[in-house]
Amino acid sequence: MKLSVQADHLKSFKEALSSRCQGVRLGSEFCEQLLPRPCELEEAVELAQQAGKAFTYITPRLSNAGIERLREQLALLNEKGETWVVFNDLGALNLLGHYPNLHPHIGRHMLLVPARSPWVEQHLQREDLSVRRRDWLRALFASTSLNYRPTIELYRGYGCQRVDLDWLPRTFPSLTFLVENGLRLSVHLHLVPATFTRKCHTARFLREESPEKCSKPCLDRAFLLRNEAFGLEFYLHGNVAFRLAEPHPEAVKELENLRVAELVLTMNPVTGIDSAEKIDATMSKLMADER
Amino acid sequence: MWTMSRPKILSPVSSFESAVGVVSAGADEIYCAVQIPGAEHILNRPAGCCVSTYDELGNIARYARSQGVDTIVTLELPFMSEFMIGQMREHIASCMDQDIDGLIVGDLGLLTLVRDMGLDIPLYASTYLVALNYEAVDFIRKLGVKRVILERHMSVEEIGQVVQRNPDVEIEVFIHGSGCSNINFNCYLEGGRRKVEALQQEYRGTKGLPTPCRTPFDVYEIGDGERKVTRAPILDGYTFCALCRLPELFEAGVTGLKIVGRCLPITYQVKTTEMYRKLVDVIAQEEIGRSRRAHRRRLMRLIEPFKEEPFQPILPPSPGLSSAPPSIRETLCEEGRCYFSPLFHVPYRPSRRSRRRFGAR
Repeated sequence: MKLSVQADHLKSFKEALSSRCQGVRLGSEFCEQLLPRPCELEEAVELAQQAGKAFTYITPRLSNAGIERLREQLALLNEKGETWVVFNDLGALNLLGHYPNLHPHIGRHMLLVPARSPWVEQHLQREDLSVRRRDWLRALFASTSLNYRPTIELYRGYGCQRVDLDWLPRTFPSLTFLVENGLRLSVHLHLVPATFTRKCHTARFLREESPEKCSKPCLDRAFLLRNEAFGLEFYLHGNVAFRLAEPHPEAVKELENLRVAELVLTMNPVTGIDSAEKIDATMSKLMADER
Repeated sequence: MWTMSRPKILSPVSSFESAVGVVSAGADEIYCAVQIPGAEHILNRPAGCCVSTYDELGNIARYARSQGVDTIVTLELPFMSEFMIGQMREHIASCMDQDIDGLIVGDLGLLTLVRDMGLDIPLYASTYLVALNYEAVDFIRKLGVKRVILERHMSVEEIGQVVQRNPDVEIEVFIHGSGCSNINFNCYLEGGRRKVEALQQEYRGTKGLPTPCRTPFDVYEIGDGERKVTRAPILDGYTFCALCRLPELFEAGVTGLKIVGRCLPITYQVKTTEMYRKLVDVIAQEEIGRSRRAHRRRLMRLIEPFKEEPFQPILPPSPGLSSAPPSIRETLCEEGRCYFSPLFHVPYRPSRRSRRRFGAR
């Protein structure tokens, strides 16, 4: 199992390159304003090649304008050779079909994962549930919307062989089904998206004027949100509210046994991982055998 | 000369009684669902949002057809998994037995299942397929879908571009009710309905259902000791109504204007349908002149009186307050709760202290 590092801007990406990680990812799963400029993308691909690390490009949900920016980037990437592109929008998947060197990788936004809900335990602990109903709910919260063979076949028909997933131990047993159906799995450490918007909560809170003029405060700021009445706690980073899931070495072993191919470590203000040293320290902590 | 289409009004239905109400009020199409046991754990729709039996669905569909109105059934689940195959096949077949006119599907697996069942029925792509751009709509169209319901977070200009680039597929947009600032498919905040109900008393006075996103959060900046910045309903973008944007939606060429409210009282469903029926007819009858700008100005004048219509609050009026329901102007316009408002519109104000200390403008 390899460990890859995901960065949403070139500075972090360069830090990732100098760490012990085996793969590097550039881009944003969540915000099209964070798509790199073509020259940055070109530089990232070349740097990854020089460092001998596998490169993956990450794309978010997109507007019409974002689609046009992506079109330009995909043409550039296609010229650079074979690359995996994580898509989080059906429009991006539609575009990817035009570029023979680019391979679609299913992003987290494409999946509905009931276990992402902060209310799972509340549902399962209801006393009025029959045994049958409770079993049904357990199956629901263990499953993802990819745990249906025709859905996988549909995606595979578009060339998708890889998929991003969350660190949600409740869903780990269902991952075997995905592997058996020919998917190569990548699991994100730490951050489980609980809600996501195009009306960026951070930008609105900080009174940014418009997406086009956004100063991108999310590159170095994040917020903790607490609602005691609801018992909710989220980490707000840009336009996403995450739940934090602390990974531990035993579960990493479990994922390895399940034939998960890749763990993904994200560099951002919520994880606090912003340097090669911190990446290496996290790797050492989680993957003792990799030392 | 520029042109304007005349979109259909799609109204929510939760029972036979509500179907009769909204059809009489002028709905062109109605949409509803029959509850799938367990779906409430994904979608947080209480039983009252759905038609209670397949027989009732049949009565609704027959009645609507007799009035020249199509009945579209939403499959309710934006999710499909192996353990649900039998249940979903049975559900879809039971809905089909009721002579309905279309199915709203919110998951690629379900779409495949419907196709594999060999059903001859128009398919509508739910907002849960998150069509935010013309390429996504094209992708969905190629899967055999007749109509795509766009995600809420699009500007009217973007909607117009989608319509232009996808002439072979019908486009539907939400226009009124329960605007959500988060992308539905990617939002897991709902689902704690019981907790929400327990807190309704505390949040009495909140306009709209107090889902977690609409209630205040304590906000701490991460790093530097995680100091508290403020308390604000930071996760909500407050969008609700599209009265003022109707002329532009006509021009954009959308096929359907959808009113949200399957979980709301029948009076709300009926009154809102009535209002949009009148308004759509008024706009459609207004003669198109040479100047688009002058035409829009005339239409805006026609729209103004509609803002004085009552906006039906979901919660009962608080004791001691006037029983007169507040108008749309008071409830929505004055608070900027507008579909298609700028993406970074802020309906709340961070405190002066937090603005000074943390750089919030």
